Amino acid sequence: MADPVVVSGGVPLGTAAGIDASTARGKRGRRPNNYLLVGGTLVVVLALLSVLAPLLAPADPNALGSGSPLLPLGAPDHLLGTDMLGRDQLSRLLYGGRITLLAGFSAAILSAVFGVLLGMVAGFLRGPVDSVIMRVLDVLMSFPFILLAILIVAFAGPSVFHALLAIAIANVPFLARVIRGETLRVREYEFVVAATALGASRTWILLRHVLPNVLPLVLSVLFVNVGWMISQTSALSFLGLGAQPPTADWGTMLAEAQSYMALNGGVAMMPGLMILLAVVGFNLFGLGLKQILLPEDGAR
Amino acid sequence: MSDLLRVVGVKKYYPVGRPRLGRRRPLLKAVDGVDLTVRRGETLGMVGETGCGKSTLGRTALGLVEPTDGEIWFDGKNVSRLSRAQLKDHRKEVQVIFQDPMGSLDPRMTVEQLVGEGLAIHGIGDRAERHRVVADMLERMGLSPSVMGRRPAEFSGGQRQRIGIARALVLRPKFLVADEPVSALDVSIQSQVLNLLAELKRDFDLTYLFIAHDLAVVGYISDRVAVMYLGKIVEIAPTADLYKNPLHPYTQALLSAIPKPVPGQRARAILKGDLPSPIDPPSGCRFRLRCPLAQRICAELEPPLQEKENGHLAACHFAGERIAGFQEFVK
Amino acid sequence: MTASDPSVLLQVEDLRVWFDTPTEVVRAVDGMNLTIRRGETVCLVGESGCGKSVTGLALMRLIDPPGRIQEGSRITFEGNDLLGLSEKQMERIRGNDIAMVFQEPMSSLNPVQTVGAQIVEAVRLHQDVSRKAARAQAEEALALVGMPSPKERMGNYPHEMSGGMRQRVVIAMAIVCRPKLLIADEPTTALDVTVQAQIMELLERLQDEFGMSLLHITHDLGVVAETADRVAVAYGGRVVEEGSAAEIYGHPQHPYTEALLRSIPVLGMTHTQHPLSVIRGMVPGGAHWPSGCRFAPRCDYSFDLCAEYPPMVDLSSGQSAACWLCESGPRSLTTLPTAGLADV
Repeated sequence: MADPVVVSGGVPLGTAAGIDASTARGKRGRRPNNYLLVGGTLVVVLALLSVLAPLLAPADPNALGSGSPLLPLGAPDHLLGTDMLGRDQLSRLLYGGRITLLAGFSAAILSAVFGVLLGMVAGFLRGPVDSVIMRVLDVLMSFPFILLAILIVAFAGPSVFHALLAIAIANVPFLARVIRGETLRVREYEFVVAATALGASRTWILLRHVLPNVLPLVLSVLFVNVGWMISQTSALSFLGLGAQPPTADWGTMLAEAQSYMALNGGVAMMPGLMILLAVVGFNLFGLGLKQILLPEDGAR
Repeated sequence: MSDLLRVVGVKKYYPVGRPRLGRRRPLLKAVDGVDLTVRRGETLGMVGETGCGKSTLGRTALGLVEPTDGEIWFDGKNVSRLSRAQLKDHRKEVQVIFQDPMGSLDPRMTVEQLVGEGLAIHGIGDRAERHRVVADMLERMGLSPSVMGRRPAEFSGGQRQRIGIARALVLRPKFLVADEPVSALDVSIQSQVLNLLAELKRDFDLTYLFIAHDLAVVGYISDRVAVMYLGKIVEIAPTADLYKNPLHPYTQALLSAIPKPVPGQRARAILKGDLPSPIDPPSGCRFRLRCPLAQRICAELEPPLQEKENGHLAACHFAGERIAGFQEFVK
Repeated sequence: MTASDPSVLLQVEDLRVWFDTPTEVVRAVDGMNLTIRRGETVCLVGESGCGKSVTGLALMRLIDPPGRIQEGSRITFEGNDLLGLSEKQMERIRGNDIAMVFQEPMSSLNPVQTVGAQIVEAVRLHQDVSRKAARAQAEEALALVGMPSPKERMGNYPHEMSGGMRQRVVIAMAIVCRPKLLIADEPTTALDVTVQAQIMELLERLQDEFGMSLLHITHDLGVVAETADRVAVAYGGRVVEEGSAAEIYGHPQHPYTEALLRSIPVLGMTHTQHPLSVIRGMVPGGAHWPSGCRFAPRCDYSFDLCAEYPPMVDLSSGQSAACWLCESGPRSLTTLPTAGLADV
């Protein structure tokens, strides 16, 4: 019986049997990407909970006295207990999560857009443009982010929107730096010279060559950043500079929880736990994404 | 006009080190006064070792690097004086292929996007037409159009190089600068690409500037060869003349040093010392520190590039003298 | 020839080095046979993917996982089984009896140590001598490799030197303990032609002085012709032809060798008069060697017998080739392009 001949690239490689023998031993699947799995699960679950909050919440999150105050975890009708004012914690967490997650995500996107823009322009054009942009960003970076955020919120007035804006601005320098570094690396490649030789304008090169090559880094950093932004916007809310009552996000809930910590420990821990899960989830997801988009074997 | 490219007194200097207040930085003189013409339809080869400036000269001729001094004339136009729009048009006429098949192709683009990029930039044809042109060109390169959707990483070095050539030729240039096009390829692939380049020259009516460090490769494909050393041309002649009768001692040393695939041949004329740096070249003749023929005049007066025999120019006070150990090797 | 032949320094039999990657097994070296005699220069020549570099590393037992020297491989050095030695015993051999020089001198040298310190280290690893004596040896080694002003150079750092000088330093480190065998993996490929000539002359001189054997691994057929006593042509992880330099270049027997020689431009050839021949297809890569003769898919002479791997056939003079065409004696070929060059 004729063994089928395997052909690759127009060159016969040999019979199928011959090749199978050599590849059979040592055939292993790719290592499962654990970060992506765990992180992804957390992210998806949190996202779903937020989106489905109106369906899942048993009560109105702002309704005072929907239950007796300070009910513990597992109480009937109030799965995650109630706070001092008798508000159902589960509902508050679900609705609060929407705000926290959305704020963190928006801040990350905003930060990324400006960071990429400034970083790419600075890294690609170099010279005086680069110097000016980087010095301005340096000044911005030299403020501890909290002070910067407080400053911005102090001017604009406390609200979730201002808080996320402040966080986004405070983080632009870091992202811009990273992107600038990557741009510097990419622009040295000969394919950039090749594009110039073809007649491409600098804008063309930036958009068609630099951006696509810089994007994998951006995407993988973006998700890790979301985690970071979540914790920072929560911090601002915790300090009273973010969400204003009656709206609550996990940050403000954390602040409130301080007061009944000793009385209803389990319930008080919940906002903090949620923040932790969100941050860890996004971090892991970002790391997992990095493994896919930026393989270490230098394939790019 | 039979001269397609004219390089007139081109210099390219790079300041070295950080800018310091009140002090001029030392200059790296990559190209230090080169006059060159490339005639329509010819292949001019340029050889030299590291630091000789051949690559920089090639890029300057392309308009990719702006010369510190001097002018580039292409087909009667002064390239150094073109407006932005005119320069963009000019790019369609002069193209380049690179040494590194990996780095010269954007890894994120498909073959179709890569090869068709020139057409897209200049707004030539609509999508369907471009697709057709790219497919035709790939076939011409010996690649199946079915690979248009793949990315560079899936191809071998030789194939990537052919993709690069397709990209350059899709704009139908008149002039092609090949910057070490085969140095990074395996020996058996080199011949494929060299043969391809020779064919394409005929079929597309091209003029080549072929830059390489391998004298055998350059000699194989070129009509005339220029030898560069430390930013200047030291000898230029029709290929056969250069190889049979090298006038400049550096050319003799280069030819002597190349290992030939004939057993029993040994490099006899070996130069002393290392390649000098283009920062601060020696006074007078730049080659004198390594030259076995050097005399006092060499330090005092820089020898000009002059015609010594018909069409054969050399820059040496003692052009034609043989250095010790050099032997004719071509029958 | 048996391993007990005293003129044989190194004998490699059926060497297999396989790399276990997550998706496939790459059989980089797959049955390599090689013999190196005392004082001789053997050139192992081939293109990328033929296994020559991995062979060099295997001889020094420098193969790291996922690569592994397979069971059944034999490497005998001066009659002793090299693969059976412990790591400690192997350390005593590396740099001492067998030394290696690589293509990129910058990656073999420690950028934060002076050149002198690195050679001294090489000495003190193998000899129980005082620091002063070691420095003296190091200086002597630098002088031996043709370094101008060796004493001053001892204090230089690698980045202060040119490529040619760095390669000399690396060679100095390799020969300071007078090894019996020097393995040079593409030692001149990264250097300019005029510097390359200097280094090759240096290696020849060192060999003459110390009676050292040289395994020169390269892809450059010109370099091989100039330096080799014996040539081994590698393809597909194995040696496909072996012989003296004169034999290989004068009448190559294996179609791959012949095709290679016809595809390189030689000084004096022009494309109008001597079109280069082309080897169609590409090297399939160590994970996909075809069964049967590995060159057959690209060979102009292949026929039905080629579906089975041909044995190495001994031809009269000492040349041997692994090709069915040679079974009934040496092949005669049309003139090779190198015939156009003047003899010395």
